[in-house]
Amino acid sequence: MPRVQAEELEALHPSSYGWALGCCGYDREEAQDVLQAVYVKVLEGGARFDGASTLKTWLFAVIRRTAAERRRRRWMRALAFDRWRQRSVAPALPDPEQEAHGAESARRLRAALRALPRRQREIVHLVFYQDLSLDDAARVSGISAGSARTHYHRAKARLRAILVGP
Amino acid sequence: MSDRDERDPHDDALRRAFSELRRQDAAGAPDFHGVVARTPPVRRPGRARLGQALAAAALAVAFLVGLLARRPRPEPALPSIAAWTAPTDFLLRTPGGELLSGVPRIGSDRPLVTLDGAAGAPDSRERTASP
Repeated sequence: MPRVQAEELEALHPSSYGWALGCCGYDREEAQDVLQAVYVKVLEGGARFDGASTLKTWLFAVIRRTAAERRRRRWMRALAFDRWRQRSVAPALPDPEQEAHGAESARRLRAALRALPRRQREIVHLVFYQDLSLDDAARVSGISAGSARTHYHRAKARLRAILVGP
Repeated sequence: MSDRDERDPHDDALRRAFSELRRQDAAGAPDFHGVVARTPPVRRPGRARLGQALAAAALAVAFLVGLLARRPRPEPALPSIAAWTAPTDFLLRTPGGELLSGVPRIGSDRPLVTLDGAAGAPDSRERTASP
């Protein structure tokens, strides 16, 4: 399988950025760091696309794993008293200026998504934001289709409860 | 399974909200080449290594303490049952008790035979003096 070209990554860049934001709790700096690590990994051959799924699904899985790995590293560093002031196990909040520019519905949706468990947030983001099928969303998240369906329905119910009210 | 099958008309509001979110994120997305050329965040290996070394030392100490705590200790030797005496034995020893522990003999101020054999045996003079 030929190495992924920069043009292919660039074509997927807006979607990848949105997914990286979702994986990083809408922390823009962290999302860019994750994307940079992923792009370098892919372009230098550290992560190889095997063609078993679409490039988008595979790339999203790499982004998700990279974000999770960085989260774990930060957590370990926090345990080792390094950067203990910047405990970032919980997703960092975007700065107020950026928030102010967002439309009210998007702001409320971000807040509602942050309130969801990670798996539910991932699945609902992949289906609604990225227009992936539940099967592909399950592949990206590394879980079974049945689990993805459960997370999807629970996430929708919780989002409705938060956004619309019971 | 298709996502189309999973969607229902009540999802419209959610879809609209996600669409707005996507539009905003896309508008604020950084340039692809800028992201690739982005300088990786600087790490501070010195402090990180110090923390890791401290954590490793703490783990090693905990491991050693655990090993010492689990090591079986030698049990104290039990005294033989034949050598055992009741702690209240002294209460049975009364003053003049040695008088009751032997058979008195006439003409002798000492008992000829003691029940426990502790008193003196009769000498020949005493034996001849007896009838």
